[in-house]
Amino acid sequence: MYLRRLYRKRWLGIPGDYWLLIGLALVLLLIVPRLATPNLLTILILANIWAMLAMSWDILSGYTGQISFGHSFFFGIGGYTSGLLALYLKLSPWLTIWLGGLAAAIGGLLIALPALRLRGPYLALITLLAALVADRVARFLRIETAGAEGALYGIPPLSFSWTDNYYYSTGLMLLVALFLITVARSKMGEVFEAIRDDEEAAGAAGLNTAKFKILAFAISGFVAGLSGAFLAHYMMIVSPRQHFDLDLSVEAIIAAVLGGMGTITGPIAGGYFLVLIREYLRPFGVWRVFALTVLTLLVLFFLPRGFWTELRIRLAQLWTKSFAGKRA
Amino acid sequence: MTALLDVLVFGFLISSLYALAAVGFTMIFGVAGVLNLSHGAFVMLGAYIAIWAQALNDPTIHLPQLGLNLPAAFLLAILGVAVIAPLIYRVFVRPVQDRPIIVFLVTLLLAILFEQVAILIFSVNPRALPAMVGSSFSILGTQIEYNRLLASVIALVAIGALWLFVHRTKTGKAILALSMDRKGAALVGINAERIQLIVWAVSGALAAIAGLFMASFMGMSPLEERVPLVISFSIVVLGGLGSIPGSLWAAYIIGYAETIVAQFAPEARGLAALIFLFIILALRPQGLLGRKVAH
Repeated sequence: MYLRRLYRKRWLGIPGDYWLLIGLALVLLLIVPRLATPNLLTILILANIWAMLAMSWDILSGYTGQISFGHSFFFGIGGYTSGLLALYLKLSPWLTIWLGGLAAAIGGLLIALPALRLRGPYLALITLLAALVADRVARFLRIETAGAEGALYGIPPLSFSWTDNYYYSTGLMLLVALFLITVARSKMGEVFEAIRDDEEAAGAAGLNTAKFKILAFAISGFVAGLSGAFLAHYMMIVSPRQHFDLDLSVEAIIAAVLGGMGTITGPIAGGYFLVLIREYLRPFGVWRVFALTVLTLLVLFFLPRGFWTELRIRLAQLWTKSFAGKRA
Repeated sequence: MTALLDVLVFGFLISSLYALAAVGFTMIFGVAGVLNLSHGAFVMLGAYIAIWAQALNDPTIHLPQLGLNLPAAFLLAILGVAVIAPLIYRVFVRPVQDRPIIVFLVTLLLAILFEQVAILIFSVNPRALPAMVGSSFSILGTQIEYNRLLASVIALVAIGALWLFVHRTKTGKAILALSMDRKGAALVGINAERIQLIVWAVSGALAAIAGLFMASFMGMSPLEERVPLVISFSIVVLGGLGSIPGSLWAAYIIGYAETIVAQFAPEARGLAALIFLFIILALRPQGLLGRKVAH
C-alpha cells in the first residue's frame, strides 16, 4: 500500500521516481567522475551494465510476473549480434549495440510464443532451456576469429578511454531507466501489474493478456540485449562463459530482489550494490558469493520488498510524521 | 553390434540414476506445488557427505575426518540428506510456501549456498568416490563393471521400494491423495504438514543415492549440482509435473536419448535432449502423463 502511495507522490508536479533519476544523474555525471579513482570508474561501468540487466528482468518478472530464469539468453543474443555485426560488417558499434538490443527483442518474441501457453514452473523452465541451448549453439561457432569454445575476440570498442566508457554506460543506463519507468507508469505498466496480480481477472476484464505478455518479453529482451551488447564492446570479447552463463541470470534476479522487485529503481540500486560487493570482496574469494547469497536470503525473508524500497518507505513515513503532522 | 549393446547397457544405467533423482523432485511438486530448485544440491550433498565420511587424513578436505568404510559412508550420506531436506523445508520453504516466486528464489539461493559451502570445504575441483565393487565382466565385447551393475540394481530396488511404499502403505496413499487434491486430502483427515516432511525426507534420500553413484562413475564437483537439477527438471516436465510414473518413463526416454547422442554424435551432447524438450514443452505443456490441473 505504501508502495502505491509512494508512486503517486509528486513534487512540483513531477513524480518521485523521476526526481530520483534526476538526482542519480547529477551524482553520477557531475560528482562521481571528480571523486572516483580510475579503478572505481571501471567498476561503475560494470555496475551500470548489471543495473540495466536487473531492470530488464524486473519489467518482465517483477512487473508482469513472468519469472524468467534465463535472462542471459537475451544478454548473450545482444552481445553476439552486436559483436558479429561490428566485426564482420564493420558497422559502427554505436549502431550495432541497438541492433543487438533489437535482435534480443526478437528473441523475446520467439520465447514469448511458446511461453504464452506456459505458466509458473513451465515458463521458468523454457527460459532456462533457451539460455542453455543458446550457450551450446554459441560453442559450435567455428569462425576463423572465433577462439576456443565460441568466443569472439577483438570486437571494436565504443572508446578506448575508461572515462568515456563510464559516461556512455551511465548515459545508457539512465536512458534505459527513464524508458522503463515511463513504461511502468503508463497504462501498459498497469496492465503488466494486473497480469501479475491475477491473469484470469485481467483477461476477464477484457484485456488482451497475450499481447501484453509478448510486449513485456520484447521490451525486457531489448534492454537485456542492449546491456549485453555494451558489455561486449567494453570488454572487446563475447564468449558463452561471459554472455550466456547461468550465473548472469541468477545475478539479475539477485540484484532485482535485493533492491526491490517491481520498482525499476530498486534493481538499479540492487545492481550497483551487487557489483560493488562482488568487485570489492574479490580478495575474499569464495566467501564473497557466500556472503552475497546469505544477504539475499536475509533480504528475502526480512525485507521482502527489497532494501531500496524499504528505505524509501521508511523515509516517506518519517517525512509524513515530522512535517505533515504539524500542518494538520 | 557392440555400440548398440553399449547404448542399451549404459543408457539403462544412466536412466535409472536420472529416475532416482527425478522422482523425488516430482513428489515434492506433487504434494505441495513446490518447485525445489535445491534438488540438484541434494544430489551433490549426498555425494560429498560420502566423500567426506570415507576420507581419512585428506589435507584437501577442511573438516575433521572419520575414515568410515564405504557402505557406512553411503548410509551416512543417505541418512544425512534425508534429515537435511525436511529441515530445509521446515525452516526455509514452509514460511513462504504459498508464494511460488519466492519459493523459486529461496530454493535457488539455497542451492548456490550449498555450492559455496562445498567449495569452501572441498574446493572446486571434481572428486570421485571409489567403486563399491571392483573388476568387470564382458558380454559380446561390451565391458560392464560390476559397480555399474550394482548401481542399476540398487536404483531399481529403490524405485521398486518407493512404488510399494506409495501404493501399499497408508502414508504412501496419503501422499498420492495429497498430490491429487489438497482440499480433499484435508477433508479425510490427512495431515499435510507431516506428509510433506516425509516426502522431503524420501526425496532427499533418493537424490543422495543418485549422487553417490554419479560421483562414483563420473565424479562430482560443487558447481555440477546444476546438471542433475536441469536433468530432473526436464524429466519431470516431460513426464508431467507431479506424476511419478510419468517421470519414470521420461527418465528412460531422456537417459537413452542422451546416451544415443553421446555415442553417435558426441559434439551435440546435451543439445539434442534440450531441443527435444523444448518442442515437447511448446506442443504438450502438461507432459506425457500429466493431467491438466483443475484450479
